[in-house]
Amino acid sequence: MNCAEFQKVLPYIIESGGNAEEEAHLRECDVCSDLVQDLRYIAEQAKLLLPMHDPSPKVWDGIQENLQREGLAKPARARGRLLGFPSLPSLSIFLLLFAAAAVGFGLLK
Amino acid sequence: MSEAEAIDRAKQGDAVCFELLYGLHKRRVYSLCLRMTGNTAEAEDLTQEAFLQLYRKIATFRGESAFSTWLHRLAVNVVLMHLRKKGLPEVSLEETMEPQQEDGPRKDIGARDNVLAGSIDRVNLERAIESLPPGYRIIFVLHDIEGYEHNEIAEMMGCSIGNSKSQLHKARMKLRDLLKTSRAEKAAKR
Repeated sequence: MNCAEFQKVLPYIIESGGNAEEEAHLRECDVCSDLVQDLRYIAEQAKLLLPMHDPSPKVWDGIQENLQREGLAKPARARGRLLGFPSLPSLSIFLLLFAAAAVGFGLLK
Repeated sequence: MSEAEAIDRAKQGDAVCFELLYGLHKRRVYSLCLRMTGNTAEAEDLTQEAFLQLYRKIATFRGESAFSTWLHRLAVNVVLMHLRKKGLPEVSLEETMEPQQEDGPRKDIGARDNVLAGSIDRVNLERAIESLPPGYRIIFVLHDIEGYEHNEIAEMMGCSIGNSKSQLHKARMKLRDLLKTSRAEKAAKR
């Protein structure tokens, strides 16, 4: 078997190994051996790639807008919230007012 | 709250739980879209579309596979549908396992070079994948990064298993060329 014959069947060999003749060529031929080593190395390295990127906040904004337009979600009260929870600033204001009222009530008492 | 609880509540229309699921899975879905398209704006649009479809279809999730697997498949289908609409070449149905003149493995015959082992870093590989032709890139991302089998890819893309194998092989060969070129350019600059 020569290099051309070997490389013609290489996609199959990479997947499921070769027959005796192909394995013999692989042992004897540095060029084909390097090639197989590289292709396996690329496949191994690809498996190690992790999801590294986060989408920008506008993706979530777009999802909210679409859901509201389709009537699937209620309009948000504040930017960034779909529904349900109050936004952080409004919660802070509420807590401040509550604390002030509590202090005021304590002073009057 | 566990993911299973969030899924159950999202099925009943709980938008806060849907937001929680978005937070848990946005990175994986977006990374998939980005790697398959190689384009940030398109990847963002497709991530948005995938989660909109999730919102509409989550009630049909029966738990037969892991939620992440189900969502991932949904996202892959969104990307493939988009690429079909755009008319980008995915995999040629007529293609055979015969190597092509311009990028087949024959060019390596008789040309020994240093092996790549130990010389690839993540950034180089990501860049090389990004510069693959779309058809090669999609198969490579689905098989080598995302772990789909050839029969699954063939079913999703409407091609034969042999075709999927052939495209994957060509993609790896092309990547090898790109990575070697990049390594040689770096060495020349030193």
